Amino acid sequence: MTIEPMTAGDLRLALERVRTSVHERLEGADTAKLEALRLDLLGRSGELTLLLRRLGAVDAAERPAIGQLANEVRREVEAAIAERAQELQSGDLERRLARERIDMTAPGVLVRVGHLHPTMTVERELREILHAFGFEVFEGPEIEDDWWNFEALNIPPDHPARDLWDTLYVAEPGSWEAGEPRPAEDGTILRTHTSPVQIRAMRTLAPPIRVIMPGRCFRYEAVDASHNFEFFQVEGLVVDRDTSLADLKGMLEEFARALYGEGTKTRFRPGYYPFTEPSVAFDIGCLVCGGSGCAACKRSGWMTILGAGMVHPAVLRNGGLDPDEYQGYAWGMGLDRITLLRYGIADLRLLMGADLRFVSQFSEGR
Amino acid sequence: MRVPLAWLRDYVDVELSPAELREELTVRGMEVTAVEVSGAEWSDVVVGRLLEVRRHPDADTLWVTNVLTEEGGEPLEIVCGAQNIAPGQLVPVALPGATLPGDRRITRTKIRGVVSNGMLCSPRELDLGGDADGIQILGTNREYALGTDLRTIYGDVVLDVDVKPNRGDALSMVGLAREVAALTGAVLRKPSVSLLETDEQTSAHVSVTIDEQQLCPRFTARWFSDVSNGPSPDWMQRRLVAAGMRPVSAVVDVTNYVMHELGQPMHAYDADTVPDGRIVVRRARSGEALETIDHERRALDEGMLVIADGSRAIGLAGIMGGAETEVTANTTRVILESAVFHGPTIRNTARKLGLRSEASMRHEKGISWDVPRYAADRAAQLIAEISAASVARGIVDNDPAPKARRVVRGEVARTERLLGIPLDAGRIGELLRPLEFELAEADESGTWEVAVPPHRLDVVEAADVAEEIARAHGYPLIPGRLPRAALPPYRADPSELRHRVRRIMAGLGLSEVVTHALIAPEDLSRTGYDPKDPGIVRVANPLSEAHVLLRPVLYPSLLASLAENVRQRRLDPWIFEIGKTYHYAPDMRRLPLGAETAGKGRFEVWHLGIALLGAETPAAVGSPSREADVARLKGLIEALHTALGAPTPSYRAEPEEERHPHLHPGRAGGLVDPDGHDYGSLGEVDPRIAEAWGLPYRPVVAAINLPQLFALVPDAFRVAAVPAAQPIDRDLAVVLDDTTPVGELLRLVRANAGAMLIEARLFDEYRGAQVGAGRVSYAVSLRFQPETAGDERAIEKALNRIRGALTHHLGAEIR
Repeated sequence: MTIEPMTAGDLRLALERVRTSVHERLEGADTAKLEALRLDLLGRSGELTLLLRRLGAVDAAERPAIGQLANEVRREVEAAIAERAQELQSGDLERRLARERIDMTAPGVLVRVGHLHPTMTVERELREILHAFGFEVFEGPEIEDDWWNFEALNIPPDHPARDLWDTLYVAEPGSWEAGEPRPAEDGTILRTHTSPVQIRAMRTLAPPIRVIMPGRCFRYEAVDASHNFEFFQVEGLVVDRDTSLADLKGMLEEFARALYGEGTKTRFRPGYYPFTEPSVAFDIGCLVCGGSGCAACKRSGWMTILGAGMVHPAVLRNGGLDPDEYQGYAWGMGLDRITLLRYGIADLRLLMGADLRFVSQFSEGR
Repeated sequence: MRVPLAWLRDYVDVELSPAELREELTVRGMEVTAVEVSGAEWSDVVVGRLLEVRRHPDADTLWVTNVLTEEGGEPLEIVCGAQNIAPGQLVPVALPGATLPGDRRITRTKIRGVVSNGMLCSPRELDLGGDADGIQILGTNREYALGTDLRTIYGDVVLDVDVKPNRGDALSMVGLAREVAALTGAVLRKPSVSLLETDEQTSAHVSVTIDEQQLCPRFTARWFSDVSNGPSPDWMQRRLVAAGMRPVSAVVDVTNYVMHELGQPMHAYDADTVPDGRIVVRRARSGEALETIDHERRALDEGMLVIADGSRAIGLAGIMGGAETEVTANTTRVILESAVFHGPTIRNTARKLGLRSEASMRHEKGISWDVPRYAADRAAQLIAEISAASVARGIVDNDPAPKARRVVRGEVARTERLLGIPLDAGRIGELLRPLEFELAEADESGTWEVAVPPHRLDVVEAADVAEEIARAHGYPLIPGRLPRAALPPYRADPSELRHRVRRIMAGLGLSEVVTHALIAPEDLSRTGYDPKDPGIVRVANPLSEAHVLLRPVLYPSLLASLAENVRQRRLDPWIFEIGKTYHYAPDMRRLPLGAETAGKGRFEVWHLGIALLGAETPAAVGSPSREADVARLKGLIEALHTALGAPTPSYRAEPEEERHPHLHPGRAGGLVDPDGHDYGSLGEVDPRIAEAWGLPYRPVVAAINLPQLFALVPDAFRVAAVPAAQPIDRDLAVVLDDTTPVGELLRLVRANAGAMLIEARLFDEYRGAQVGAGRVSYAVSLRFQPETAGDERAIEKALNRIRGALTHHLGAEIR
């Protein structure tokens, strides 16, 4: 690069221009601009560097004075840049933080929260309560046949008690397609209760048996606010050598307290099921009126929550057990009804569906 | 059964209040489901006689009446709008100050200028049922004294008792009175029968032949002449109405009355319509028909039992009589039938014909051998009393010999062990005696023997007697014993993992739904599946066309769930459901993993269904919405796997011939486990199917076979020591043919990286000039965890293996 000769006056003028302009040029410079300015002034081909290089071409007489001026300007520029850098480090951060202020009253960005279905949650709770009493879960199929669902439970064909369980029959293969659905010849039905799982449990497990059997059931039943043709039950079964009606009573009372609270009133009374003898109906004090009588309990003060009894000898036999050696109790209850009572849901139909306006009301709670 | 308390009191003294009686009966096994009190809301309603009825001076439809409510008193002037009133009638009068049902208070008021001193009452105003247009006419003669409080005429308590199917013996006033007597210690007063018989012999007018002894163990008949079959008396009609029966005529009402009193259904035939009084009990002939008294023509078959004359069926045994032999107002001679029929046959016939009646219900549950004759005599007495009939001498009865009582044996110790209460033979006898059981014997060895009363057909073995002992002891008095028992060995809970999946899915922001397992054929076809598939399990007697078959896949339910929310203007449902799918495969030799079955070729498999529609979160300031798409769905599925501890799934594209028909042809995939087995499907819903379900946007759905998923979850985690060395990150850039599935690239990376690789993540994709047409560049970020610090060489080796595999298998160009 060639260096254009400059007069001493011009050089002095150029230096003075740098000196007077530096503060203005630094004004408002951020870190990047400051670095660029530093290079523009002091870099290898920076403005001031180039001016200094011209010193050699100045008259020797003028040189000391201009040299001194050049050094002063250079120190001043360096100092100004350093000062600006310092300023940037503190003042700029503050300004940035001030600039970054947000509206702290604005809501958060939504995070999706899933809700669990109450029937399934109650199933889990029952399972946990009963687990503490030593019960384990045993499951069976929903498509059953007449023998498991009825006959094994001491309900022969044409027994009047069959009216307690209106049945949905599985169609004979091909009959529906042919336009004339008829019940399957092999007796296949949709289970009307979880009780057939009792037989399966007895045949699979050896006494002592202590199981609960939750699951979906089906009945030929018109749908209204308290009935559905699909619903969930939880069955309990205990079989050993000396479990008595008194044990059943104690168990149910404890269970009711665990589920509905310490002060729950209970009533243990005779019921009827072909597969238990003696049979039991079990009530709790009405959760709506507390026992004084209201529409929900038909003015009786009680609500029936489950049916139970001592396993009938014929049922034990069908389960492959000797009724002279073993005895025990069983109970069955509607999960849906317990769910309704627990959450004060007015209509059972809400439980079978996908409307998130319903499900979204359920949270983990305490 | 409806039990009017006043009627019940004929047979037993009841000192308990209705509420106490309700409680006592219920805890004894006769559950009282409701107590109806009629008349409780009346006060100051009395019997009055209409003396005069004249037009209201200012209203065409109103009457002004003079009513006398007290012999020798002053008549009251009362305005009335009913059109059925006439002088001389006895009517209910609500006096000024009276109250009526519904908290209605009667005051002296001016009606169109005439002061009305009370109100004449209609059945509806008294809550007696019936229409409101007419006044309740109580009589036209001297039936009731003037001023009688109406409550003493119509007021009663009616108990609604839920008699269980095994207690047919309690389906009567006397049966329930027996229970009340046993529980209160009161005396049971069965109606005593005294009959005045004529010299006519019943056997001269009636003959009975029983072809089916098994189906008709006992048949009795009586014969009546000089019958005058007008209406039955008011008291009988009122009792029948209170018990839920409709009064018909004197003879029919008596049969219904005795059925309610003693539990014995009976039937009356017009004897002049039965040639020679010849009655045959036989099976119906195939092709035979009968017009029943409801004037329906019934086609009969050989499974049905009929009452016939010499040539034709004249009644459906135990269910309903025939129209041609029905008693009418003109009937003068009557044959009365009182019999026991085979319960299951009656039940079957009634069901087949859709003709359940009060009679059939009682026959189904069984009638004791000793009731028919007693009931026939009781009815004969009443018919004679109220219709002035002559009763022929004797009764036709096929089996008059008394039967021995059934004896049931048991052991005291065994009974104690079953019930958990202390017992001895003496105590057992004491408890059972009020229920008419007799302790026949109790020996030293601790055996008891009881004779069962004939009406208790349900008590056949020791456990049945034990229940009676428990009832008599009182269920409430059985001491509840705190849970104690031999605990069974530990078993894993088969539902535990399902419940964990629920919580994980909810934690990932999805809401749980529970929907019907029974769906409509249209639900399947709308989802792209064939509802005629022979592998589907169907119901023979569906409740409606909407619930005909058990879902073979969860997809219709998932899409229906989305649609249900869209209809409710919720356009972003993200949901899951855990439910079974149901299948029929009679030829399948081995069931799928984890299938539940009762055999016969049908089985059930648990699935997790996931369906996402619309934005994950709504667009908000500073946070644009992110729509559900296949990538988001996969992310959720991968998160579920991670949370469960299952290995990250691989995906494969579904080739067209295997595609799930509800999925978009270019966006249908399968979940593949490390052994290469499919265990789920996922993808975007075909837009045509989405439209058919009314779904906007681009819904995505998945279904995962849960037993297969759970098989991937290790039984226990073995936690490796956390190495001191820092993880090392390396990036890998490769160029491939752009038809290469990226899943294959990642699979090869993972398969060749060795144990040190802890993460492989695709972070860049580039197509364009720099890599050339038909090529794609991918960048993968790899994170290695070396055992010891600075184990760079091992990592280089792993990278070389990866590069080698990619070059070899995919023709990759490494950059």
